[in-house]
Amino acid sequence: MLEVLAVTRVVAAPDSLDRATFPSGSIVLRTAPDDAMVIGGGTVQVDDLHAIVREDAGWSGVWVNRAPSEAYLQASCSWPRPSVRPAFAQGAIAHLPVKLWLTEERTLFVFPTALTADFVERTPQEWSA
Amino acid sequence: MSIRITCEHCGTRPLEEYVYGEVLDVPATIADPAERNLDRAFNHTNPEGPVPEAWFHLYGCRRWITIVRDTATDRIVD
Amino acid sequence: MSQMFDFAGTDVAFIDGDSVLTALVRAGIYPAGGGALCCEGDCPHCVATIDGISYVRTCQTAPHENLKVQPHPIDDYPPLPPDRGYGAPPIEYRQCDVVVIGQGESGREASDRATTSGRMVESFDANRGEEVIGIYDGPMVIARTPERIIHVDCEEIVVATGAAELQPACPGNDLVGIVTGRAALRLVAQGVGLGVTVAVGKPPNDLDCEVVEGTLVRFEGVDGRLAAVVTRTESGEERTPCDTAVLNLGIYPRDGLARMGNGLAVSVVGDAGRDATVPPCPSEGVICPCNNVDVDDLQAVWDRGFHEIELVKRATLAGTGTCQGMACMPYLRSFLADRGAALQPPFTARPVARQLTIGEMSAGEYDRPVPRTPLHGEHLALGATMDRIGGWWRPWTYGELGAEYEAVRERVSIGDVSTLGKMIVSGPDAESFLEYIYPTNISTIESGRSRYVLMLNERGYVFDDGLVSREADGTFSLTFTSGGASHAEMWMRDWGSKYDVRMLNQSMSLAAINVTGPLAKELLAKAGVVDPPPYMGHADVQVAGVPCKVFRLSFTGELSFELHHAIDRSVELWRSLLDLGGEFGIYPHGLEALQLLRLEKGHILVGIDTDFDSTPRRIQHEWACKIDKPTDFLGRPSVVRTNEIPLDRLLVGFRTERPTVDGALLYSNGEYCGYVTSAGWSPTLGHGISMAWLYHGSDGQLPGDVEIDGTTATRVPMPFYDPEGVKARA
Repeated sequence: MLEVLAVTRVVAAPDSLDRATFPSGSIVLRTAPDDAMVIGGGTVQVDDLHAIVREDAGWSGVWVNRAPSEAYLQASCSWPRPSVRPAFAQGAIAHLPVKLWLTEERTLFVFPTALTADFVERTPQEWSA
Repeated sequence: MSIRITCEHCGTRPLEEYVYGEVLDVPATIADPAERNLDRAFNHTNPEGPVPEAWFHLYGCRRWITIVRDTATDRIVD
Repeated sequence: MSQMFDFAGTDVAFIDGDSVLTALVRAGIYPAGGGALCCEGDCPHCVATIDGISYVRTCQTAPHENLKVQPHPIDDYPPLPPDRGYGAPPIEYRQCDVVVIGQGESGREASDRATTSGRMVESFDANRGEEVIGIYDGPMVIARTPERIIHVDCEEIVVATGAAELQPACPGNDLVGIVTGRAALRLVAQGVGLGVTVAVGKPPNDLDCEVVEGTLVRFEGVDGRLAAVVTRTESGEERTPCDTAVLNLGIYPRDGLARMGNGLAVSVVGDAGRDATVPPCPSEGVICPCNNVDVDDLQAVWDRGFHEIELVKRATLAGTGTCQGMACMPYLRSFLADRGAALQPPFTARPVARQLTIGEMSAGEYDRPVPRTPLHGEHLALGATMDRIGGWWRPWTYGELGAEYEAVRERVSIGDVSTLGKMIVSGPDAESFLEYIYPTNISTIESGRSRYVLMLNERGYVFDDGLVSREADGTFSLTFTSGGASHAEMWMRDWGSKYDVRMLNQSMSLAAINVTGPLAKELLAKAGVVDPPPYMGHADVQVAGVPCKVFRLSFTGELSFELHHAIDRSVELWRSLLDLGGEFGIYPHGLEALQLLRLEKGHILVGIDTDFDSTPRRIQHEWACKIDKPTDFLGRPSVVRTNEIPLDRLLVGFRTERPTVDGALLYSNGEYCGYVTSAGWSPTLGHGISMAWLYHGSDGQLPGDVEIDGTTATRVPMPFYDPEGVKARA
């Protein structure tokens, strides 16, 4: 099911971010050394006085079972995915900027909500049904 | 499509994910920051061979990375 | 009943196995009016306009009922497609180890060899409707099919394109009735009668014809049709009457793609790699049928000193036409060798090798996604015309430009400005960083206040503008233009790397609705905002229950509030505002209205009214460039330096009594002196208004009144509307 994700963005000094504690059960995507995307809500504790911590309503996502997600990525993603799971990866998928959270059973595709129409158009129908 | 660039944060990705920035060819002999800016803006050597370049990884981390590209072959050297 | 297609209004019958060309020749039609047909895609003599698309090789096009074929005009360019219906085809991306181009005998062998050794192979063959249009760095091969453009990344390329038969270079080579040997076989196989047939050179096996002795001198014709072949033998010229001449003048490798791959992992097999022996130098006649270049033309450029094949190509245009040198290359080389320049290698081959439609050229254009604001559906529901503007889908108009404009100027309106670039900057160095980025004082911006800012590059040129706001917690909120947001983020991250700062791009996470018009305050009051921020101030408040950061500023010239909010609450807020504004006569405005409203106020659109080299002085924005501010800023040394140079042009306002258009030229006493960047008709003022670049005359003075589109334009100060800014500050 395609859904708007509950995301908290944390921009902080990289070493502070390394030490930060994130809510249990949340998914933390380290999109850059100084930037973490926390999916699932809750409070983040980071020891950087100047950290920017903001709720971010701008992301959508869809969970897809491992086998169909790998079949799709094989055709629509020109770079190799991480060989071990769980793992985070980001890059062009079907020419869209997509972030992947890959677990043993499933794959979470994360993309800017503003690109939902493009994402839906370029992915299997049942993902957005 | 065919040129692949390695982002230190994200891994090796196709060209379409990146935005070209510039050649990093301000000589080390210029120390003054203002002069460095002017050199960066106005003086370009357009070298043939391996040159350091800045690229922005738009489809990934959205950060600048530095690579070395051989302008004669378009191969990414480093 | 036989099947028919249409050629210039005449029905042409075709049978199984026909190409459009074989059917035409059977009916006595040479689509290009003559020339030695090759039937293999090498020559330019069969191209025509098919179903509106020009430069199509009829020899490689299968006919079908309803097909419409038009010959190209003789002395003019062929027509462009009749409408915009030829959209960009999709690009299909493939990856493999080896690409084999051409699937004749040597091509098939190469494919089999590579496959057997376990390599992944992609093969293309023009006879299967897959034309390779270029070899690119990578290496990469691009091919086109009727349905799509295919990009193949590979390790290695094998060119197996074979060889073409030489075209004749002698007088009369544009007559109807000349064919190559292979073309003759194809035509005969389709039951096309060739009449009395003679062969020049050894004819193909099984072709029933007389062979003429000697070397070809010229073709003679009557009414454009071949009547006789003239050859030279030891006993002198010999004239052989005939209907059709079948040529075997030798073959020449189809090496265009092979030469394109220079420096890449490209190998050539089969006839494509054979020695490119050149024929004897022709003494007269057309050698380049595409651009009608004859031996006299070559001699003329030779006499002017052009002795290198690359220069001769540029000076004559031989080799730049439809066939890309397949017809003329052997003769260009033999001519230059004959005149004393050494035998030169062929001129450089570059993509593309085949004519492409504009649609095909823009293939993949829509791979890059175009984001939509959360209000996209609302705009559509209101009947908006959406367009891609500044990298986003945006409402251009809701169909009532007058009503949109009037709502802003007289009552209240809302507009979707979610596309604005938005960024938070925090950190110990945030203020000093922004002081360096912006040519405006940042330290004096108080908490809760905003300031208009230009962005200058190192050259002192304006590349973006926006707003800087200081928050109560010490962070800064920035806005950038919609189209410039991505570049601005790159800019900030580049220069910010030298500072201890944190940055968060919120462009796609925050939506923004501009509430504008004399009744904007009343509307906000109804939405629960009792104490809106003052002009150039901002505050966090709930608007109709939606948490917003409300900025008070003005782009339209009226009292305006920009409501920034999380995108998941945007639809709710938009509907509430429309609902609450009903009693005030609210009507939304699209970009077309906004462009006019801001033009009346003389607000620039960076990138439309500015150029790549617009200094603050040239655009009359020196008030936003505090050259004497206490700290250095990016571009300052350049601004100081360029300010010493006499001003050469100025962005100014003009009043016209008739409407004018963007891009219209300015004339002063008949001299060109600039151009219009934005034009509009002001309903409020009742006259035309334009923003324009005005150049100084040779006397160093700026012209006063000028002429635009034949009408007098009076230079007037900007803003055109409410110059005191009373409305925005109301």
